[in-house]
Amino acid sequence: MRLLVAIRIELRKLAAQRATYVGFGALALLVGLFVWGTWRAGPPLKAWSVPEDFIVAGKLVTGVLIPYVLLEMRVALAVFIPLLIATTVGGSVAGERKSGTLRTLMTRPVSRGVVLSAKLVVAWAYAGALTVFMGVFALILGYAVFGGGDLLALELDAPGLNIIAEQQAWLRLALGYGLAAVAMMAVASLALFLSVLCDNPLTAAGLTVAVLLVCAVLKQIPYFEWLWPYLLTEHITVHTRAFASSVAWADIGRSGVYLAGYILIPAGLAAAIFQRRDILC
Amino acid sequence: MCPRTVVNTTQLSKRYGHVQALRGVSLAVQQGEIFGLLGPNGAGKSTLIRILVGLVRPTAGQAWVLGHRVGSSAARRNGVVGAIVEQPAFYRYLSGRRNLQLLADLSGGCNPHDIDRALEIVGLTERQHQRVAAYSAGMRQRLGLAQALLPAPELLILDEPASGLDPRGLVEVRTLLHQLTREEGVTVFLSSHLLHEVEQLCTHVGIIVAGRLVAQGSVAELLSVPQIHLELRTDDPARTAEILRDYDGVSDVEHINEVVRLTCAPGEVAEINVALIANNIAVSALMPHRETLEELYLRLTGESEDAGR
Repeated sequence: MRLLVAIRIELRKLAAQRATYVGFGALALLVGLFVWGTWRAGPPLKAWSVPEDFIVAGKLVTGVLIPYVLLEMRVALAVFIPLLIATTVGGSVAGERKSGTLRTLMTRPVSRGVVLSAKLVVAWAYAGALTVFMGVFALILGYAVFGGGDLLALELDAPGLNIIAEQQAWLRLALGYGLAAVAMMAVASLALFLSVLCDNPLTAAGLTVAVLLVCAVLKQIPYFEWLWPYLLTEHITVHTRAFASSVAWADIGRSGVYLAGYILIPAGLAAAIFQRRDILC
Repeated sequence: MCPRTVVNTTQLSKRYGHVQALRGVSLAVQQGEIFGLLGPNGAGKSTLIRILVGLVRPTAGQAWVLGHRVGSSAARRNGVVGAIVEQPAFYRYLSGRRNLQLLADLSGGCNPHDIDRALEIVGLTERQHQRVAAYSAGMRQRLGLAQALLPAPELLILDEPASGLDPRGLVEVRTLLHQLTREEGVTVFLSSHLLHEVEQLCTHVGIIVAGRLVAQGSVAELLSVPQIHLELRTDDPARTAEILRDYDGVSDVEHINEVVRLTCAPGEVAEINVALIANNIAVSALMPHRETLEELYLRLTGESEDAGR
């Protein structure tokens, strides 16, 4: 019961902050710019490394293509949304510690476990909401501008394109965005763990981004190939498996296990540290 | 019926790295007391208060509040403790009332009338819907007091509650704390630098120096000393001094200008007066001087600091 109240309070606080809406506004702007760019210049075939002599007939740009390409572009899921999560969730504990409100909060008769659990749930909800918002908004805008039609998706692990029927595309998009939301929840867990460790929200946000960057850099160095399957960034892109000619459930299951670890381990560590750490600010 | 012990610490110690903030502090506060914790900056007052409200874990020793060990889940569930630790901090983007509502909800919720009452007590009814960002430091302090009063606490732990309040606010807070103690049986544990304020407000006092509790007891007990200082003005100070130097139970007789100073037992004052009149000395002023809390504090903190050197 206390946990539900604490979650409601955390949600109220999140809803009362302008920064929350700035994040959603920035995502809406990104989607809007992408739709405008596609409307002006056509589908981003070059970015997909499709040869110039490749001939595609029919309606290429459809309402379902917009949310799909936004997922594929990586910039949204690897940079943009993690940055928004890092700044908001990174301040969730460190920001409250810095402003002194954590002290006020913890002088109330409520356990630290309840307060941190509420913050975790809201951090996960925020990460999921950002991802789902991007997908839903892209879908609405995509349909409004380009109308319905099949989805032209990249084939996995081999050059080529995969045409997915419109109804099937909706299911694939739901699965893809669901997986992306889970991946973003892992980023939120990491950000909250660092927020518990740091006294400054900017440091927590910066460290979250730094961890993701280090993972991305390690992925580029062959010496660390043995490490690649364990990197968070390796599994952030699990949504691509939803758009293969047949859904790659085995890959999704494997990444799901790693993502569960990335969600639960930082959360557990954050709880253990938060229980013991003195609140001095 | 014996009063219930509301705050109890045994051999409480806290170390921050190389700094020993508290050294074996044992104290007890009974229900209905207004306990004032005095001490110079860095003496360990805030650390002790932080331990009592569960913000900081002691390195050694134990603390009990309202019968529950601090930090235990039972204390969190059942403890009705209102607290202000240092400068109260609130969500600046929410109104004063919304902050109170949110904090009260976290401790199990309260009636909207309770919030109205708390706001009225601290004089923030008019500004309750304004964002806290627009509040002055004094208003935030008042809001801090209001949140500590929600929901009806059995124990108030207040770290420097007078900080940021104007003289009228000070009087109001003093009256409020007296009223809460008298009418609702609330126990108050506060720290303060304002010795005069503590002397007027508190029934009991603890003095902490360099992490050690050097004195504890009721204000009356601490100030009841076996000897008092007496200042006399007579028509013949030289002869007065001469007579009193031979008087039993009188010591440290000094004749400075027109004044005679001496030390004696409190019960001797009237007899000294009679003795002087019997010797045909006209006494124009007889001023017994008891040690004030301020003097006691300065003496104890001075002694402790000297001992520490």
